[in-house]
Amino acid sequence: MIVSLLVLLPWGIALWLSLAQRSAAALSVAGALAEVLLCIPLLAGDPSGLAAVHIPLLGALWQLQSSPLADLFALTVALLLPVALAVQWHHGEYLHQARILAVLQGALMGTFFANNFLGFYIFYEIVALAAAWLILRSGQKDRRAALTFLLYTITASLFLLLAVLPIYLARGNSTGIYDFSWMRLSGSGLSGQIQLLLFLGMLAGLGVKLPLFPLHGWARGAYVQSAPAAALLLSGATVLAGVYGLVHWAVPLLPQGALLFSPAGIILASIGTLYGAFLALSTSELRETVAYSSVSHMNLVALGIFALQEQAWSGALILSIAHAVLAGGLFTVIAILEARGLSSNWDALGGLFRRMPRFGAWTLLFFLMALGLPGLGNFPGEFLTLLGSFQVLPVWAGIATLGMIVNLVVFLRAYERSMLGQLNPRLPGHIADLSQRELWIFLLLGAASLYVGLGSQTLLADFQQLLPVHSHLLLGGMHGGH
Amino acid sequence: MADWLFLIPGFPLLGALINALFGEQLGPRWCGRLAASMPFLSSLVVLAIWLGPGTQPALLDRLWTWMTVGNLHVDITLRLDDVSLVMVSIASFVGFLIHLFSQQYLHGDYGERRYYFYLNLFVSGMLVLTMANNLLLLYLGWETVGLCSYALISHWYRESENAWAGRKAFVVTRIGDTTLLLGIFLLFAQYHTLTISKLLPLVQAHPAPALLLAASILILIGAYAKSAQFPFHIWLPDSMAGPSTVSALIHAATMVTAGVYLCIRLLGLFAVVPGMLEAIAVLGAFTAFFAASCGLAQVDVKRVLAYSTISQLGYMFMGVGIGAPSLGLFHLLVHACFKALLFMASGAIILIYAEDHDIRHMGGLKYRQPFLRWTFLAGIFALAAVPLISAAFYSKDAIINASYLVAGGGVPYALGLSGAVLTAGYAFRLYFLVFEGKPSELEEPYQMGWGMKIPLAILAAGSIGIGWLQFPPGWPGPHLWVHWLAPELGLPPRPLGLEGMLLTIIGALATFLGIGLGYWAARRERAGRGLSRWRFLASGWWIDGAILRLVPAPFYAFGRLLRGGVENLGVQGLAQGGMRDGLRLSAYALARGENGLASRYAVSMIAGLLLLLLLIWTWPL
Repeated sequence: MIVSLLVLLPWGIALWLSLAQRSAAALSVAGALAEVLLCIPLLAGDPSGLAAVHIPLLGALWQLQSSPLADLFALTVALLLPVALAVQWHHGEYLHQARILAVLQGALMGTFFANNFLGFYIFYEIVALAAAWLILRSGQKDRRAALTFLLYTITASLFLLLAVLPIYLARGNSTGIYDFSWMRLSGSGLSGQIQLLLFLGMLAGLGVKLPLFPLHGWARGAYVQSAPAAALLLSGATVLAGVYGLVHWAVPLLPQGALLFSPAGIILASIGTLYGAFLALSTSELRETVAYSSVSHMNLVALGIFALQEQAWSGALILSIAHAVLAGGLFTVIAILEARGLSSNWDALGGLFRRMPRFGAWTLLFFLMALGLPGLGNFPGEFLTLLGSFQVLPVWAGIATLGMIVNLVVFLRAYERSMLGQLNPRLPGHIADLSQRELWIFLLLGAASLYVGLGSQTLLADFQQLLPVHSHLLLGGMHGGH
Repeated sequence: MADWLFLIPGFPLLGALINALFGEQLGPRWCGRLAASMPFLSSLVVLAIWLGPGTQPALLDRLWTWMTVGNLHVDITLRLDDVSLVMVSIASFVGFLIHLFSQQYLHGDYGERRYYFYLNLFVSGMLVLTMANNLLLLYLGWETVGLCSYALISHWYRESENAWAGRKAFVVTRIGDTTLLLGIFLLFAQYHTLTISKLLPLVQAHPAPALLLAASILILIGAYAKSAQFPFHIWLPDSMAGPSTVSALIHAATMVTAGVYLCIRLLGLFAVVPGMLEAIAVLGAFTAFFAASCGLAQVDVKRVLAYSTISQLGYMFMGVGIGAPSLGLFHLLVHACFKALLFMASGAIILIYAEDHDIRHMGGLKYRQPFLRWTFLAGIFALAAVPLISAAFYSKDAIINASYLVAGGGVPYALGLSGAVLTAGYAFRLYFLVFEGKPSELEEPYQMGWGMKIPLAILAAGSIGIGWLQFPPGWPGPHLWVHWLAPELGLPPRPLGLEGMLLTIIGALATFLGIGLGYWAARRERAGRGLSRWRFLASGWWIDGAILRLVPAPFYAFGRLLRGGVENLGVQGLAQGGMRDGLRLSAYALARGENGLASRYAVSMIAGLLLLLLLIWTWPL
């Protein structure tokens, strides 16, 4: 019941926002907060996690079930929405964006809880549409960015669907029950080669959302062109749909394929990690820095998943949650700059710390998180991912580790050019430091970052419950272990 | 008592936290007082441990589980044994003295609150580093001090050079941090534990030569980068951009010694790899010699001390390498005293000379600042290892003499001894140029308050007297140090009898020779014909310039190449353009118009997909 509500509540809010304009801003916030509250019973282990509607046709689709990972991801998305709303509170098109964000949030909840592949697929498509709509209608209203995103995701998800169909048919043939639910699809017993082929297909569909190198072509446009709040949710939350798809669908359905692909995947993702870091190094635009470092981090997540090793796997999951916090922090930084009419290109900044010391201090915190300082959110994920994949392919994991050095240079240089040094004479005479609202956003995200960074065990314990489910599906094929 | 261990790093961390959250309300004055009281409280706890239970057996305080996945188990656990007790005492007490000194020294400066925040965080990180029970917690402290070092070097951020120097320090040490992390990965892959006390017996029981060689090299690079050893020393001279107190705390007394500490901690690992300790000894001796030679040609008072720090750390590594870690640790303690003293005193000197760092513009300071002169001289005595009455005579000379005994010790001994001559040379050159001669007209009246005098006095007393803890073998007097540490670190090789006496005399002669060299160098410098004109030495053997010119550029070029070639042409151009054109054609056929292109694509595609889905789904029905 709760899981259905988690999907329907944001959609209801979005509908209400479209129909009635009265006290709409308050309602959007109330809805976002209610969504957070709804997640709590799930995390506390409420048994009413399963929701199925017994209506012909629709019934098969609306099979929602909670799982530890889905609950955590849902909570992450639920927490990120209030942040996004707070970031764009004074934005001219607040309501319009809030509406799309709510649609996006509901769809994301659907992808996490869907127990039926068709349901997952449809939610996944709605996520793509809502995200494209968001890019189109926010920020610089650049059609090309939205169009590129849409084409990437929709073309790719066609592969996703085509890859699952053979599994569905094969299972149907052998058991006589044609069903898209997770239980029916898993354990298909297809041969390794076919599984590999299908895994590649699913990867094409899911990897685009991550975005996995070299499918990241949409990322720069989408993160640079859209409004900060939209980019925040895109890079923090929609990527989780891709991660979840890989972890919950692709790998468990095609364990042999995943295992065969593992070495190639590690190499690809490790190249992608460095690639993103190097691209972030070669720009003076903070938005691009953030965009490419996000690509880099998500490739590290992919590395952890492909390694099929328990530490790497846990690391990838915790890193994707940390990445949501990080995206929140970094895009809030950009939003604050833009709200003051400042450019996010460091050539137009410089010495800003002098005018905005609070902002400077908080910016440093999130930059440090991005470069993987221990104690902050990204570190446990990066460490576990690299440690785990190092047990599988030491050389390539080592190469990905070197990305940490590049990452450091990227963020320290960006900080130095924009915040430190002489005050840029072209900056306006008076720049307001953080407002109460902005300070609270940072406080919340900073606390979350510290929590993930130092209290990581509380999250990892949840993944432990999840791992046995998958490890037997992987036919004992998980690397390492003992 | 063990349950209270967390208070040692906890107090400074609390101070940093209060400062961050309520510092604005407190105001800079109270931020400073609060910050100074925190390491004092820590040192009280440390004192209680010295007086109370001691650290044999080691004290353990398990706080919480950081991460547990599969066979990986990492706790936040603090451990205190004799070695870390020494480190903790230095970090907390010397840290406290430096906080105290800062109260007057930095008063009225911009960013006082920020300064105290990072200073407290730094002390806390250093304490965590030294008390870490496992390599990952050590790494946490290791990176925390790296961050604080960055922030404090860039403290006066309004000059871009300072910000750049901070970044340089962080980047160079991060290279080492990353190799350290790789070393940790390697060790974990083989031994499945990160707890140091469990790891070392495993390493000794099941040595895996190739893997251990690789791991040792990776970890050593980490230690060398942190401890500014050749060729990773390039960040340290530039780090002098920060306030002098920061240099005293971070770039002399504590953080840079972390590499030495790590080497002592993991000695069991290096000992298993054949030839590794010898290599550490030779590299250490070389760094000691090389940096001392550069120190002779510097004209910035702080850069003299910076090269001196690199050189002295080289002696510590040499001590570890020749199998005398307890002497290395002893010198670490002695060095913390006299180098903190020298740096803080140099801060006062720079204030007196109105922010002029050039020692050629100074002179005759002894007339108006007698207190500063005598305390500074105590530090110079210790740096030069003046026989009998300075602490380094009992620590540094002991290391040099011990190296004579070690098989293949000829190279370290020769380098170490000639380094000692140069050390006394640059130390006294500095002293003569600043304090002797005619008073300089640049000098401004400056009155040091008690807050500045007390730390200097305590450290001066330490620089002279702390060596008397451990006399050379066969001498009357206490022999406390090496025997106290023997259960953990073993007894170092020490020359006895006539041989020992001769080596001691040679060491003393080296010092006196160096003092003569220093007098000569100072005179020439005054005459304008000094060693500072020798670019090779002044630029640090051209190493820094060469590295800066050769290393970073290819990375930026590679980044630009990826951006221009792969990303813009390949990913953004070809893939996306090709796909768009393909779809545009098909959509054009359908929609017969460019209007509302995006939404039409979307709608038609979704409609098509849903149709397809419906088809599949109803197929078997």
